[in-house]
Amino acid sequence: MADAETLATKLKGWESGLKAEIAKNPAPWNSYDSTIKSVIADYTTKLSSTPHYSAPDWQLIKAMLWTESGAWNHAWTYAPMQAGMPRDKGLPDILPPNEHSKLILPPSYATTLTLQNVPKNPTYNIMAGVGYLLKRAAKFKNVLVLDSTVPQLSLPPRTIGIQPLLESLGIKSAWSTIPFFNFGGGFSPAFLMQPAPGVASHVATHTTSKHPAQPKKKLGIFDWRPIDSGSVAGLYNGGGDPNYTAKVKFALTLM
Amino acid sequence: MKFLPKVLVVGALASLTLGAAPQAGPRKGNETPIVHLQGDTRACLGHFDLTRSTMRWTSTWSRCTTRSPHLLSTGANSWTLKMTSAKGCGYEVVTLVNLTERDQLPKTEYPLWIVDGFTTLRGYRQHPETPDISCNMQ
Repeated sequence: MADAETLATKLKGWESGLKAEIAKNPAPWNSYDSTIKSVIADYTTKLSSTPHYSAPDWQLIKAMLWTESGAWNHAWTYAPMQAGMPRDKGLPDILPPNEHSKLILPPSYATTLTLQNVPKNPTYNIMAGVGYLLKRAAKFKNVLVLDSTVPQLSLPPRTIGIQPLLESLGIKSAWSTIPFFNFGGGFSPAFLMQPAPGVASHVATHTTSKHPAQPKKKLGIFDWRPIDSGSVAGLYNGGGDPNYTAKVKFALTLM
Repeated sequence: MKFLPKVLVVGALASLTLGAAPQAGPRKGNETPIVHLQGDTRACLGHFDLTRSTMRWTSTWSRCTTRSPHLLSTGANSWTLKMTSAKGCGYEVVTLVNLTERDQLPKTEYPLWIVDGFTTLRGYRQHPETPDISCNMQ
């Protein structure tokens, strides 16, 4: 483990190098600005209905690109976020058929991104890298939902909370359904009564039926961890670089 | 018999000195540089240690040790090495660039380097600008 003095000296060297390199030729360092903004807009369209979602600052993502690769690195031209490098265990987590991919990726991304093309195309790399960051920031939970494949009568549907839904299925208390739920991480009965907005559209539509709908577990996003210069080191870099936060903050000062 | 322990002590001290160096500059001529670098980015967390007889490179998702890396070519501030045994390593060719020297960046105690890995020699020869991994190191 490097001592504090060594870390500080290394950071100073990295900062002076970055500053000098950008001053000499700033254009390539700014070449992904519009791509980053566009990718964040796509994710925001997909995720804005989830509880407490806040779009990442595009300049923060740009600072991460400068930290992860930078225009001085070959990877800048094909994998600026270093997503999907050989044996990368993180990338498969957000690509189909992984369940998280449906919740995080915009539909067009899900059909475009692959393990093969993400490390070879800078736009795809940013799409996947931001997706991975968002996946790490999202808080997922399983909720109980009606199986939409069950035949329904033509009566107009009405939206209800999960508790009445359970009662309609002959289950008197939500607590009696504990085996259906994952209760880790502060999951509260109030949440059971009011499914997360991002899940509700898939979840709580109740209709009168001769064949009662079957409950089943479905993964949803119920909250988000903050995405800022202090958190991206742990979320994206794995926390392995003690200087990561300082590098990102310094990069932001150069924009 | 008294000579042997002295040799061992001197040898041990020499290896300690080399091991303690945070990094060393390139050697003159067509010799493999001796470097001890650290990588910090998402794909490159780990160390790269190169001597004239061995190369050891640990990154986030690979661990590689090889003896007698063969020097394929050298440039003003760059070196290309072919691994004689790439089993379990994943990279058959490794290139090093002293970025601080190449781009004439401010001198620092820990110069900036780029270490690239190519899974095959063929891949390196066909597309030297697109390594399979490219790591910023210090």
